[in-house]
Amino acid sequence: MTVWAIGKSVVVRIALAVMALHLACAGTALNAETPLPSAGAWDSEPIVPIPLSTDLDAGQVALGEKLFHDPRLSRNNAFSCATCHRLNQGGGDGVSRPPTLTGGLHLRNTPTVFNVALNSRFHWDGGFRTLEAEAEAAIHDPAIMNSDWADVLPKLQADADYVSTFNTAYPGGLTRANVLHALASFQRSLNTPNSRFDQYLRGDADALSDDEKQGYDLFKAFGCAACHQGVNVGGNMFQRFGIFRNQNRPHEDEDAGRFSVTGAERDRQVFRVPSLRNVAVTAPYYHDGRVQSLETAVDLMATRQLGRPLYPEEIELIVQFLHTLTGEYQGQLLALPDEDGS
Amino acid sequence: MGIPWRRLLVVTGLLLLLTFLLLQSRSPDVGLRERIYETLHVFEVHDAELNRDVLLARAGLLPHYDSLSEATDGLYGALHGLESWNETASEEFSAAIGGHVTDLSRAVREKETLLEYFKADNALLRNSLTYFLHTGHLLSTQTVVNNRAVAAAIGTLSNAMLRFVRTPQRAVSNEIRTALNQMTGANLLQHDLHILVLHGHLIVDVLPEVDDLLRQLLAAPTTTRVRALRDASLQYYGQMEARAQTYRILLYLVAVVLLAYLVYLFNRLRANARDLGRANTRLRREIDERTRLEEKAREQELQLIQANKMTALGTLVAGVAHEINNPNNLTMMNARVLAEAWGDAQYILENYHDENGEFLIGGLPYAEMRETVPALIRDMHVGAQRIERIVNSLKDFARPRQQAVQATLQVNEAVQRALNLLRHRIAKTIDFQVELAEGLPPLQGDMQQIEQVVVNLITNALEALPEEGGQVTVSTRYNQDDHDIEIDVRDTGIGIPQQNVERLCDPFFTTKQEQGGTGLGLAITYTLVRDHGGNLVFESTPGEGTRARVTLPCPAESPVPAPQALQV
Repeated sequence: MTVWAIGKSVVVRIALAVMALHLACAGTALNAETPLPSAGAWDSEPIVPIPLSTDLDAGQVALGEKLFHDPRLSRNNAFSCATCHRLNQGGGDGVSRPPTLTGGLHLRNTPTVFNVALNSRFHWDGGFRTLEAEAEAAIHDPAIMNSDWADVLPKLQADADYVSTFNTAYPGGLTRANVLHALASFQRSLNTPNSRFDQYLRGDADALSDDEKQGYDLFKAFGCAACHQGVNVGGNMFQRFGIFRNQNRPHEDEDAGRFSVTGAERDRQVFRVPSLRNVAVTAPYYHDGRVQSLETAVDLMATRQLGRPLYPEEIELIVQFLHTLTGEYQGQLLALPDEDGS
Repeated sequence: MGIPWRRLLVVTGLLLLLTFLLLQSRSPDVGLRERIYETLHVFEVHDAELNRDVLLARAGLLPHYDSLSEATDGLYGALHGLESWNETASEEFSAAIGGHVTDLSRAVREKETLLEYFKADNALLRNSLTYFLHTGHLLSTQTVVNNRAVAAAIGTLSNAMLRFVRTPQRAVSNEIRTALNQMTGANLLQHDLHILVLHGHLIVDVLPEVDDLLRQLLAAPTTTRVRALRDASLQYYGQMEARAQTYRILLYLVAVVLLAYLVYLFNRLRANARDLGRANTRLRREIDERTRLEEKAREQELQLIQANKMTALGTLVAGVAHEINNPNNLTMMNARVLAEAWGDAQYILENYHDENGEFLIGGLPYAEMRETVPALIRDMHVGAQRIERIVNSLKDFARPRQQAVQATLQVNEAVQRALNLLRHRIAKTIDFQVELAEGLPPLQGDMQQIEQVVVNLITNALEALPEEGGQVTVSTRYNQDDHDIEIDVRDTGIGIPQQNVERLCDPFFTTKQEQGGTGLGLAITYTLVRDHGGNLVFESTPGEGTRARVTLPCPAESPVPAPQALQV
């Protein structure tokens, strides 16, 4: 109660300041109207449903899709983006760490490409702010595409179909910037709206079973929602991996995480909080894919991150809730391929 | 030629200067300035949103962090706009604004780093607080049964934690730490109690950090940097505007100079034109004068030629007249003798005719020749007489000049004598007017010759008149301008065709061949007038009449009279 009391008085002051600000700039048309978050904040949910549609250029998205599946983006024409980000594999590759071009294994697990545009940062270490920068880095990365524009652009330009499609979709035609934009456009189209949980958030109380609703309540009450929040249920902040360490298992040899990007000591073993959208179909889990089952992942998270061991029943309820986060792509609920299928 | 070139150079130079100043006096790119201000405004709004949401998040009133990401994206979007303009703008602009853009960029990145720390720590704090409050309450109720001391300790701890959360003070945090350490030391029986202690430590550690991050976020220099950037931009555009203003003033001054120079040139041009006009008028007057003098000279030359012609003719005629006169006298005399001889011979011839009948004489029958011969002889006589008259006239025309008597004479008297001579020829039906001026100065000359001049002119005038009526006027007057006397003889006769007027005074020119005119009358008249140093001029309009004007110069010493017309 005390916290709220402080918060409310602060909120009142801020509200006044914001009102003054809005009055001051009443004459200016700002594109993004940003209303004050609901005053009844204690009633509002930490998770927001994914918009049901996007206003993307269909031609650019189609072009991006073609590029996304085109191995000519890699130097030896062996890898496309879809090699690791398989749309029928939950947007990932289903392995802990994918093999690199040079024969080794990548440092980290392949994050799903679904709902990728809803993240505020990209890669586990948050090294990229925009999808375009991420794509360009992937093309140049020796471990991923191992290519460059001098290699990629001539190959694309030799394809008359690409040239004409680019000329239709972009005033500038086939250029580096437009290739990147097309790729990003396609990725922006990879949202998976209309999950059962989103339906519940939109007011359909019957979309979830009682167990799933109970799991959601635990998800909030145990503090999972402190980090896994927002439209993407994560993906918009960083957190240190392993708050409550097992003193018997030091992790000196572990991945330095965001430290490799910022060089700040505080960022050691800090990773982007991953999105939990479609988490049921995006195993294995964690930045290095060390965990195969969702139950184990929830259990470890509760212990390491929340400092709170859970009862198996609680884990079960939360996992049930997490399954309701699986959304639809092109009207189809995401699912893993059958065991006998590839 | 050098001077116009120099003026042209001056004007061209001034015009080039004007163009340069015009280009320099343009206001700086207002569109870019507006875009910058709008972008800065957008930036500030997003920054304010960010600060607001950070406070809400700290207060536990922000359900998720998406709005913080959106605000950060907004900051980066505005920053990206500023950076791209800075790259494409002029060097001056970059020098003035670039440093501030870099500062702002750094401030944004620093603030974002702080924000990420804040988000992470705030999540931990909220989680631990939730757990602590929940489990603390649970443990205090559960342990009451087992361990009263532990329950009391948890109660104290919860109380201290509440105070700490309300106002995080170092004393309270120390109090909590002590309590937590006591619990750790008290051989933790329950696993839950251990976790409670962990979370308690976390709260005490992280809460001040979160608040510190919050303070740092709110004090982040983005606002200062934006203000500095706006001030720099204002100053830059102010300087640009001031410079443009200076150039505008220079532009005005140069324009005034150019105008003044043009006015000066225009005035000079007008003065030159005025001088030119004046010179032109003077030249035209001189040309007119020269033309007039040339005409006069030509006239005099013509008169000289005429006079020479007359003299030559006179000399020729004098010789010819003499040569003709002698054979003619012979013819006349012989004709008379022949007539007498024929008279005497006729009796004899009659008788012979009567006796012998018809015979031929000179190839013709006598009966016919009897009548014809006297007529032949008479014709011969008349012809000779005519030759004699012409020769006499020629003699008059060619009379040696020295024979003229030089005496003082009055023109009016000469006119009167001429009128007396002609009285019988002037018909009663004619309106004959005489207007003689009084007090005319006397002339030097031959009275008879002047008289003859007047007679000849009046005779001509009378002959020009029609059968009935008509008017002839004779007048004299003194011309003061040329100091001479004019004798006018005007008639209202048939007039003379223009082509004949010039030849009137030529010898043997006559239009009255049928009436027995010799064509010598006016030639002689002209010669006489010329002998007196005067001139004879005819003016005529065919069908209306003719005016003959004799001008006779007065001697230089003769008195100048007052001109008066007298009707006679």
